[in-house]
Amino acid sequence: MRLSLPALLLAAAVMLPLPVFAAPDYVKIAERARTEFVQPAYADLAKTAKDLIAAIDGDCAKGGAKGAASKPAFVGVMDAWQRAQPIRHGAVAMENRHSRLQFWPDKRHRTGKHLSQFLASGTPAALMPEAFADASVAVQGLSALERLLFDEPGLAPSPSKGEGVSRCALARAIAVNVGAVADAVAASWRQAPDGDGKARVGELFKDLTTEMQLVAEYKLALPAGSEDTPARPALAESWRAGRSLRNVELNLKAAKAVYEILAADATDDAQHKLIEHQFGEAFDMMKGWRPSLKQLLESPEGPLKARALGYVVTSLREIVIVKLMRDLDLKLGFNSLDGD
Amino acid sequence: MATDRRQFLTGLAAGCVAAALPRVPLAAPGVRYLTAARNAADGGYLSAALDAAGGILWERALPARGHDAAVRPGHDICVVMARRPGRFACVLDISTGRLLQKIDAIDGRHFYGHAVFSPDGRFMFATENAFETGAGVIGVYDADAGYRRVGEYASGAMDPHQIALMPDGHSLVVANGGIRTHPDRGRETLNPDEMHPALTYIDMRSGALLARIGLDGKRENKLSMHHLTVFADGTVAVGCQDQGPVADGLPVVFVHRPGGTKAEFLEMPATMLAALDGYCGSVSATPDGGVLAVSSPKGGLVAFWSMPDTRFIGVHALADVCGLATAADGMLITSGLGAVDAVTPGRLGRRRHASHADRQWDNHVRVV
Repeated sequence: MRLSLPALLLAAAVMLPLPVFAAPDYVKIAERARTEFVQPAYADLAKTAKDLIAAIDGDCAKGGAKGAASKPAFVGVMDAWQRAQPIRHGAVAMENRHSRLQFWPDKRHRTGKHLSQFLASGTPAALMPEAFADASVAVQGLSALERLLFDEPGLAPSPSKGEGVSRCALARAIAVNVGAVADAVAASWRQAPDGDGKARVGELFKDLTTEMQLVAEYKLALPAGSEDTPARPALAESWRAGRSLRNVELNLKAAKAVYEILAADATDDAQHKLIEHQFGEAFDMMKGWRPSLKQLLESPEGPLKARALGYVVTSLREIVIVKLMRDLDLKLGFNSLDGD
Repeated sequence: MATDRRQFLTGLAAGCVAAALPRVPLAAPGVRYLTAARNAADGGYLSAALDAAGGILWERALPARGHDAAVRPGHDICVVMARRPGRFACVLDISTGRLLQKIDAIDGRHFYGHAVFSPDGRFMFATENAFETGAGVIGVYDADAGYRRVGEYASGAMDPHQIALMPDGHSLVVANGGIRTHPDRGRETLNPDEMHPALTYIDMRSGALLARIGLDGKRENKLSMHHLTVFADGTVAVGCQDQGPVADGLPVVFVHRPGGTKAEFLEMPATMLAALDGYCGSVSATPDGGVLAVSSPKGGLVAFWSMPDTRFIGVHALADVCGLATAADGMLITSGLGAVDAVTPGRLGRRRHASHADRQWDNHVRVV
């Protein structure tokens, strides 16, 4: 077996009264995350949001056109958002931006209710960007837009009977809002933030573990049900657009990218190899599952498969925590450090 | 490599799709678990009793960090042992946590963290260090006489750690790590080239050494054996800690079968073995004895093997996991980050019982 320097250091650390700890270059890691992950993700989100505005305008000029251009543009913006979703600190944590981009999970079913209310009582003035930014967060983002595009009657240039604004106008306001929020977040990440590198890396670590928990518990386990409860496909994220699994895959790819930046050069240890294996396992498992989680959950073995993937992600998250806590000297555990 | 990856699922998840196990509650109502802990809020050490759902029944402050506990048969009493090289043991009422008596190690001895009672509940056997010579001894305490120390047996090697009763009711089995330490030198290993770890069997009535199972050449000064569990057929499973200068992929878990002359090391995929980081923290089994579980806090993993055929099943990941206890339908597992989980090999995933943000569960948890 090949001997590795980290293994040597680790073994030595076990025998010494105080662990030898070479501090990672936190600022370098945080800057890599900023320039190689967060900036491109938000630049992509801002760009795809602008494409979406143009597509909605084009469809609506043709009477809605069944969202022929808007639906593919929605795919683009949702792809970009699912890649950016793991980042929860910094500019996106301010002014409710994360929820305004996408209000999900929606535990109290607010999106549908608030959308109906807004369509009924909304006015053109309420669609102006500043006013719209103060509307219910449930109507401002991509979850609401998905309903407008994929639920009947779809995009419509004129208000339905008894409604104050049209679906076309509301869809456009959402796309504009998403673009503006993305622009604001992207602008903020263009400069290196204040604060020490270790704190920044700590935020990234927290975001990574939060995203993996969200994927395992909300995106997979919740709709998949349990031994005692049946699957509930309608609790899946983005089921109307038939892209629940695509979201999970994009989230896991983003999580892997963030993990690899945080792991920096410490890629020669057993935990890293196991983590890479498990990411590979998760992607392999999903290969035969397309197109949608809803269809999967409606198949006989589907719920179990989805739960199995949730379990793989949960396990993966624990190993990521073990490795990064140790490597990055973040919040350290109890038993793993000092022996019996 | 593909096989390695699949091991996460086989047995523990997708592989057990077909194995529809009967639904059994995690534990019978009233079952209690005992564990040592650190209070993260104030840094104090304590002993805690948990209910079947992971809730805290009571907590009792300890003079310093505790380790495992011995349950006195026929009494609602347990003895919480100090972590090595501690010198106290606390006799507690299991129902209330009330401190009934504090036992101090005698001059020249310290405790190693584990003890066990004779089946009749009269004598307690505690692993101890005669630290001026480094000899491993088993202190014998008469519980009927206020835990008077009535004598000691040689454990057969240095660094006796976990001790358990064999199914015959009169033999003790001891995992001796072989590491010489002295309280003046903290936990420093003083004999890295002369460890000679051994599993020893001792007659509790006479102190006679019944058998001594050492390790062969390259493992002899490398694998310190500290934790074990005993199966109903007399098979003993042992978790080791790699003390060598480099991790070199040696298996760290073995079984010793009745009448066997050698340790049989258990296989597992190389990727997962490496992730255990050469360190086993606790060893336990499911109630039917069908599954062996070994935790690695350094790796954040619990590894499972089916028994008695020692076929590798898979691993369960939990950051800073260490404590393992037999539960009604599987294992209760605790972590240094406050988690109390249940896993059932053969069923999918885990059930999170409780998460105590300000409690760091220590090495061991056991049903009391």
